[in-house]
Amino acid sequence: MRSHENIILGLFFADEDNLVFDNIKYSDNLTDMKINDIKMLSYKFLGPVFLTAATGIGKNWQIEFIEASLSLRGANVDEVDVLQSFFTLNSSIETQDGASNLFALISTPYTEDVKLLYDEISNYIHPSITQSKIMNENLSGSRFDFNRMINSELERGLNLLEYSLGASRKAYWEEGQKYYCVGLIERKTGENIRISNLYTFSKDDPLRKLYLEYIPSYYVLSILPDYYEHLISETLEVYEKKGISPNIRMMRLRYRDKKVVYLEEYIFENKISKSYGVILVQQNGEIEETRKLSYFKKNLRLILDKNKDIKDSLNSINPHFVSERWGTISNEDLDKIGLILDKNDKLQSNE
Amino acid sequence: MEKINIEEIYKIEKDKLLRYYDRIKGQFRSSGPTQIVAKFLINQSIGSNYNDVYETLLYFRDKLADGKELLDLAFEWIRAQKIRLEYKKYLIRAQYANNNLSLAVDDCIFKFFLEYDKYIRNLLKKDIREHNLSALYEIFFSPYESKNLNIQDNLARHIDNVPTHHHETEKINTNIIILRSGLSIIIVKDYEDVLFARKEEKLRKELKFKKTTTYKIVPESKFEGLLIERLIKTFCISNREISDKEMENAVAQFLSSYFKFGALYDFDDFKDLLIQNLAEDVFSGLTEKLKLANTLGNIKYLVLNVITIFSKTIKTRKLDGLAWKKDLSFILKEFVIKFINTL
Repeated sequence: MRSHENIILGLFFADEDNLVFDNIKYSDNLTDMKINDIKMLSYKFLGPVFLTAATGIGKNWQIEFIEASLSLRGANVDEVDVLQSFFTLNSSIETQDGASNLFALISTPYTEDVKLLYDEISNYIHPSITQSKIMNENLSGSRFDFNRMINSELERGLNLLEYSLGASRKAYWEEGQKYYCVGLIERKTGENIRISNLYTFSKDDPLRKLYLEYIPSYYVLSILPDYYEHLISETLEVYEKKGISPNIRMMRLRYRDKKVVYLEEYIFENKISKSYGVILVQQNGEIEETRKLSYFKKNLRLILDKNKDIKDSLNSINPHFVSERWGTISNEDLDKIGLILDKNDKLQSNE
Repeated sequence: MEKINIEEIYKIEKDKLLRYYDRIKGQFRSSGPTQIVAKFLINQSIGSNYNDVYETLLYFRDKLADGKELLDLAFEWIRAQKIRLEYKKYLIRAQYANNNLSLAVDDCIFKFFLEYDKYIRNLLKKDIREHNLSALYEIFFSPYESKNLNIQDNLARHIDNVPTHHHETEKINTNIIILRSGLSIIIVKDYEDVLFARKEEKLRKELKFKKTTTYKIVPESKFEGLLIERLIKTFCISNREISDKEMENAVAQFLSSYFKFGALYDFDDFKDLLIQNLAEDVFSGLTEKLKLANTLGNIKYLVLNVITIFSKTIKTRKLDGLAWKKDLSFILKEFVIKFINTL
């Protein structure tokens, strides 16, 4: 049996009213304060899921997958907690009662079969909850105890996920599909440094407007990597996992048939983590600039490893990008992105 | 979720089955089609008894989707037993933490029946009430030896547990609850059987182990010095010098033929046997001519002397076989070498 001290495993359920229910595994050795912090994780991880519902001109984008790579930082190997994978999976279901989200937080010492776990969540655990609700409401009427039902289902779901942990990863998702890059995010973080910039089309380029249809918004995509990276770091701290530090590797968002992938590569030098990430949209029609994920990954690595000037490299990512930098840290800068880059007269008038 | 081709994974030999069905049809010309299909299934060892199978077919006859026939239902019943076999094979290896039965149900439904549910629904009309499906699952996946698989009894059990829900005119999907309703008891029972079998096996192993540990080594009835005999024979015939190593090996083989590692031997129990057997082996290695000069009695006397001297030096008279082997090796080797030199 797997010790709960070696894994991080939690299931968060949120319904249309944003009521959150959770079932999280943690070691009995943690203090009450730590346990309280763990209990808050569900709200923090689900926050942007609600946020995307509230932004993106009314479209309910779902954050399906977030993955971080974990690296050793400033610790002896003996003291390090062995964790290999850190990822979150989110299933969203629309029923006649409204939308609901089931969010799983998973970190383990193995390279997990993410697809198997996602299938379990989206095809079994989450539908079990929505179907149990319908069935029990009908059978028990006013005696129906929702809390009891949801807690029981979350526990069953968590047990099923835990049982499936440790299956080796078969293949990464989306590897064979082609994507078009709509933005590049540059991030630098260190003890006294925090920089984040977005590079994309010129504000007057019709492509900027065109691709707004394919993403939640430039605003949301600019803040997500930083938000989740910090949150994952906080999570590892809450769980008292020592000596490891997260870097966002991949995020996946979906709205109906539209899909956005954020892919990031990083380098750690002189106590500064430097990373570049591309915002990719799935392009079904063949256009010249669509590429596989491996292409973007390779180019990001080249920029980092050869310490290339980003302005010189933009052309390989998307020849339509301009060297204008959009800050993504301060509220003023983010507001500017919202006002200028997310401005779409045609769409707004249609809404 | 990856699309699973149920017909591909759980193959049944349709052509062969069809040929058999035609034969049954030919034999029972006066019977109705439902009776023939029931007879066909019973002959395939499907279902608990003819009446239950017949009743089930009769009940589902008018619930089949357009273009589907009772024979299709029969084939699926046969396929279901194939799925059951695979699922059981999986369950036998499964290790659920704390023998969690809910986990066993969820894991097996997810791995074996979730996609199957989508597949089997194509066989039935879209507007069929859901308890029919959970009842059908119970009949399809119950073990062969189940005695009561009466469709009416099953339906009565499921009708109140899994009501059919509609949103406006659309049926609401409650497939997982249907699967749990139809299969939970079967999976739990199967897993409990697995646990019972494992417990039995463990007990059997423990018993076997106990038997092994209390097993008393039966001592060999004699020392057998085949190598000593051969070496002496070689020496007598070809007059070839015997190396120290060769003699060491020959004595070791002589002692190993009697002493076993892990068993205790009392000196007084084997002393006479050792003297007798070593003397015999040495004697039988001699040529006829040399036997005249060295009688068995003489040799026995020489060995007795060696062993008597040895017996005075030993502190403990009861030792492990390996210890006796180590202690005796040197003096016996020296004895044989000295004896050869006198020839």
